[in-house]
Amino acid sequence: MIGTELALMLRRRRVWLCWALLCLLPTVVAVLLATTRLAPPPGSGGAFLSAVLSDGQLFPAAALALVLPVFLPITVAIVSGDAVAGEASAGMLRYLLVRPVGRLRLLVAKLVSVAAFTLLAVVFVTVTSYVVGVLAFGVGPGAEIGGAGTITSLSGATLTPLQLVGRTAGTVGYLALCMLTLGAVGIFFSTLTDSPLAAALGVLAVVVTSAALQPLDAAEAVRTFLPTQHWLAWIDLFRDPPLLDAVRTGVEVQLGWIVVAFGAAWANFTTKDVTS
Amino acid sequence: MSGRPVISTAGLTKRFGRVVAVDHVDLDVPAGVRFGLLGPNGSGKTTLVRMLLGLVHATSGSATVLGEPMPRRASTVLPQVGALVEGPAAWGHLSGRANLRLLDAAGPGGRRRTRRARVADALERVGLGGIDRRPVRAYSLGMRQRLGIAAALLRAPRLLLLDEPTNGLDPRGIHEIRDLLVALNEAGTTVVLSSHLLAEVEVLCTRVGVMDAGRLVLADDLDALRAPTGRIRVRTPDPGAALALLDGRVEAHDGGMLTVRGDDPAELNAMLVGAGVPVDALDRERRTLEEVVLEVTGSGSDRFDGRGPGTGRHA
Amino acid sequence: MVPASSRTPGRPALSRRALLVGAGAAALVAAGSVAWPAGATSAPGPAALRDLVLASARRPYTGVAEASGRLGLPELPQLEQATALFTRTTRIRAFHAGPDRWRVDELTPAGERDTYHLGDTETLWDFGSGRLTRVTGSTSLRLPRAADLLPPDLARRILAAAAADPVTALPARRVAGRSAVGLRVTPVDPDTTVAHVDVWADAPTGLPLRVEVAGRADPGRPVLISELTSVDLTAPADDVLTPVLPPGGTAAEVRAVDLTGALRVLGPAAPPARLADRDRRPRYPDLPGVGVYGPGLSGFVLVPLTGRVAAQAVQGASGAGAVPIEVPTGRAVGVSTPLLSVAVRAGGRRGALLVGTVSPDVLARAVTELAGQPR
Repeated sequence: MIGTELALMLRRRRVWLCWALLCLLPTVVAVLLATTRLAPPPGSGGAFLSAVLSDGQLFPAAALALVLPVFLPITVAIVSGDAVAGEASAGMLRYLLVRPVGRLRLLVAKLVSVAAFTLLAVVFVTVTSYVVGVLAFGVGPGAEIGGAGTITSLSGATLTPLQLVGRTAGTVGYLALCMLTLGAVGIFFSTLTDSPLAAALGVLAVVVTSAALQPLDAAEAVRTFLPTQHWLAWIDLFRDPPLLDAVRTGVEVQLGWIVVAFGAAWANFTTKDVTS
Repeated sequence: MSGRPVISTAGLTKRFGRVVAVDHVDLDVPAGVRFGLLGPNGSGKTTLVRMLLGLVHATSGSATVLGEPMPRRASTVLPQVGALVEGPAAWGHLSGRANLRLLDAAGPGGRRRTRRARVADALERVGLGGIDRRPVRAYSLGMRQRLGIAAALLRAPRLLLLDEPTNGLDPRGIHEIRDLLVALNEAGTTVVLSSHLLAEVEVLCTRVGVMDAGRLVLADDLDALRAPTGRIRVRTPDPGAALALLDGRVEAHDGGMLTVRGDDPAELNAMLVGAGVPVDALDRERRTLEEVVLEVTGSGSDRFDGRGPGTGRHA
Repeated sequence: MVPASSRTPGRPALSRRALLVGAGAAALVAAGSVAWPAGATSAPGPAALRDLVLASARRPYTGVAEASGRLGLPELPQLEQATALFTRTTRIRAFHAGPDRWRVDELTPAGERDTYHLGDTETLWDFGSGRLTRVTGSTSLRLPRAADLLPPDLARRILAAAAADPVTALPARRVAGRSAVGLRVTPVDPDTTVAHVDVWADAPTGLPLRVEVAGRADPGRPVLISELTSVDLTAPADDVLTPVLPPGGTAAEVRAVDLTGALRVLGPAAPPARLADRDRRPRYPDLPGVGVYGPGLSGFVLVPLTGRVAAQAVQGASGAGAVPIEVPTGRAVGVSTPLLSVAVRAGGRRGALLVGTVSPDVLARAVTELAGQPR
């Protein structure tokens, strides 16, 4: 079922459209920045955005920070909301279940395919924005001295290409995990309704609620548990030495959400009457 | 009427909230039959089929399919069952062939090496051997129906559960599918089809069950249902003479058509001819399936004239 | 409370707020930076813990702290780095090898500002501007910075300042995964705005892990909380403590900026020896006009201003809801926040700013006394 699910995902036009749009936004920003050379002042604007003018190799980090708050969640909401509800509304859910595909197995396959989607989305954004960044802004002074792949960390120390690759990989994995949290929530919502749109909107409602609670003093007690709270923790990976506290907390919280949401999806779906 | 039942339910009941969709159904489908499940819309046919397939969980009662309890042993039962439930479905963005391959790959029991051949064979059997790479969303209703049946046939099932299998097909297509089902049945597959089309069940099935308002009100062999009624229908150009001759045995007459009590048409014919009464036609009276069904069912659930499905049951 | 309104263009709001906050923040630092001889009594319980904390400066550690202030100071475009420390949550990373060998990073969402302290030299790295700045010289009064909010630094400053105030034991709690024993300092001075300061320190080493400062206005809700969220009691590696100029970065060298410049202190008018029944503490040789009054947690600082700046400040503050104070000559206003009180006097060519952790009444009295003095 997992293979089937991945094949299905890779053959959906919608999925490729999502990926293309995700890669398009940073490209547009890069083109605008490169033509105007008007970077936001340091400390404001997106993370790393002011630094990319001097080093295009930082653009993947800036691009990830750009797509993280809105675009990435939207695409994940669409794809994960479609997971079960899409099959139900297309009528394929009943045929998969009588094939038979075990219900837990079906959910696991859906989770794996959503995970693959998020991972590939983050990887595509990273790779295209690296290429676009280097083309638009060139390599920075660090790279001219230390070779391609050498960048300046937030702490001023220079990161070797190997460190850069390692930390970028960590970022990609971390963000994919953060998005998988939404994916798991989406799969849960997707088992509650036969409408993929309703499930996707539910995911976005969670994101918006979480983002709205985040700055609220009154929500301090629950802040750590908000899924969006730790989304920017990956920036700590670009400090030197890398700071893992927030990332570790983030991973724990995201894993907690995934376990809870997937558990809820499982609990709801395995006892559900499939009448679609 | 041989072999142990492939489907057996005892007191099978399903409530959706306050609505009782299936009400204490005790159904036995013997192996090797072509079983037709009849009933008006909303009579619980589909819910019953869904329960047999483990899609809907019974509120109470039990069901066994192919000798195993459902839905507990779904993983061993369902690979031997081909099903078409409430219309065909497919991934619209893929071709029919890709649909079948992916569906086959999704579950157990579909050996990878034989997949291509089995898919081609199933498509061939339903008359879709020549389909191209068009996505299913461009298919006609009839093609989708054939594809749905092909999907049910993929793994040479021992039991076929088909819901309205000829829906959307033209008369020629209906005929082809009917021939296919008969051929499969003769090769050993038990076929259960649910339909609201009496004629279809009448020509195809050997055994009939009738559902009404969630209850199974009748389950019998078609031959038994259509057994002679003990009356003979006679058409004659001279009904007066016939009435005079058969006085006391005639139960009804309408112009040249007389209904006469008696079991032996040959004896009656000899008697009429012997008395010089001309006979145009003469046959044993049999009930039609329609009469049987109307006799045991109330109104369908899509009628709301004060005798809804809950109240419109025959006393 | 601080006037929290009015960014109306045209009003001299900037300088008023800059003054208010810069000086207020300075007052906190000044109040804390005065080194008092630690009461060297090795009493058991909370008093012993206080000594342990005060002696913990040589204890090396590496850790991440989170400090959040609810002082209600307005935001200031030019001084936002300093005010943000008291109004928002700041993430700080510390590499502490000893009192003269440390590095403290203020972690922002999009970069960081690092301070390297090696011996007499301080070096600042700001990722946003890509600038590595070497600071020469030193000043006795400076704007507060992230390093001042680290629980160990903050706790030691406060405990040193409040050496005369009684301490009581608090129930132990876990901080950063370590068991921490607590003590509470309750200032005895009836005029202080500080209700109490709670410090939790690592039990065996005395390294402070968490500090809470509560104001008298609402003692149940601390207005400043600083906590090490993770800590490792090993010394940081040497290379971490060494600033490096990255390729493409700019190197700069500046003299230590003290608040005298920012506040445009006028010449040598010496602060009075006594104000509002409080004695002046030893003066700063490099800041002739500045005076610090009162002990420990109930002190305030006097900063002289030019008449123009003072007049602007008074006008801006009263326009934004500050309370006027009756003075014999000139005008004066007072502002109070949960922890800090501020008073500004303007009159003639001279003015004065008073900031401290004392009740507004004390500052009003001091302002009145100042206005009555011939200068």
